Amino acid sequence: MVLPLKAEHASQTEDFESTAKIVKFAVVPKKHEEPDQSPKEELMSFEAAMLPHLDAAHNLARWLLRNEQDAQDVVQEAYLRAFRSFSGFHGTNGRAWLLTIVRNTSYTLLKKNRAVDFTTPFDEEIHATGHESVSPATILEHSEDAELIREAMDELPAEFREILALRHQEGLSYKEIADIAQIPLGTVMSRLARARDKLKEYLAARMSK
Amino acid sequence: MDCREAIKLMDGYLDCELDPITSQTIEQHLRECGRCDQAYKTHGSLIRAIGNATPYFKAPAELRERIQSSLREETTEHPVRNGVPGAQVVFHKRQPEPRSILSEIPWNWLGLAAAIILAAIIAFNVVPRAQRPEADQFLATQLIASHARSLMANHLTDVASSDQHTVKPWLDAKLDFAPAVVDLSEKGFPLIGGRLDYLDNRPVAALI
Repeated sequence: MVLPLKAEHASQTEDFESTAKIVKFAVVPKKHEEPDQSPKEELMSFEAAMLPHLDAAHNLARWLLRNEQDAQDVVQEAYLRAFRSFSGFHGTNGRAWLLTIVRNTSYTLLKKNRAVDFTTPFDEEIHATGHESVSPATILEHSEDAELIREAMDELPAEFREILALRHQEGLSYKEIADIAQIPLGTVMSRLARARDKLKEYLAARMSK
Repeated sequence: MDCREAIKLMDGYLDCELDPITSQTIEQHLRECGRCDQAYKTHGSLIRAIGNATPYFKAPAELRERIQSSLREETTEHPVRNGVPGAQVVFHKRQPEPRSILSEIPWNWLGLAAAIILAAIIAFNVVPRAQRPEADQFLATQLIASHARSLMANHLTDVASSDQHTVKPWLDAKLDFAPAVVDLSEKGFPLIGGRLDYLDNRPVAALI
């Protein structure tokens, strides 16, 4: 009776020791990672890092959703999501990180509203005719008409609106755009080229009306 | 570099996103090819013009306030980081949960019902008639026999209920499949109950 008891006891001690070791290792990095930042301090550092990008966030959401109310809702939602995962953000590019969240939140809403425009191919037939006579110079002449550009851009599929806004308005690099739009770097240039061509076509189509 | 390649790389060059060597090769080509040079100039000025004229939607001041107050609410509600619940606060207001339940579950039910009915039709009509004419005959004989047996033994129903929702679960529990308990009272066949029967060497549901 004595021997098995001893063995049992010994193994228990061993287990306890190894568990204690694990706990010790788990505790140390935890303390290191969270330097007792109070919720208030955390909120302040989040706001300091992310609120400067509010215009960029709103602009992207507004172009994607084409609706002011939806854009505001999405931006608010995106900020809450960003705040919840802020502790996991260790990068340096806060704007790209926030815009990725805004973009994903926008697409969630677009899908919910069954807005299929980002999967619908461009309607070539409607826009391919009737504007061959419009010269590049004429397009250029009208390209300062903000209202015309807004209307033409709103007609583009979401992936084109998104890439045009990110490049032309935020001035982001191809690398940043690839990260935000979650596409390969090599796709950025070709998509941007297609988006600009389509915008040109749309502008020409509107001018020839 | 040929014209096709030069045109393909046009956007990358104008956005200053190409490596220096490729850029130099393009510049070399543009000096030699007037048409490509013209295309680059036109596209370049268009890109600039579009960039300048595209309206920028700045965030209204009230949005900033809204976000700040919702963040404050978040910190008082969830003092711990990475709180999982409440992740879809905004969407819920606009598209309440019941709507998605309504739009999803009935479809599942309809799909299920349709699948069962379809399976029954195929099993009892198409397959035996097309492939097993003798078995069809045998099935009919069995059907009549079991009907006669149930009348003789005064055993019309195993479960007597006019409620589909009572009959169906009972049959479900006894069978290895979920039978479709249909309500035919509109067609002059009010539901009396359900019975377990044997057809083709397997237990089946009979609706009376």
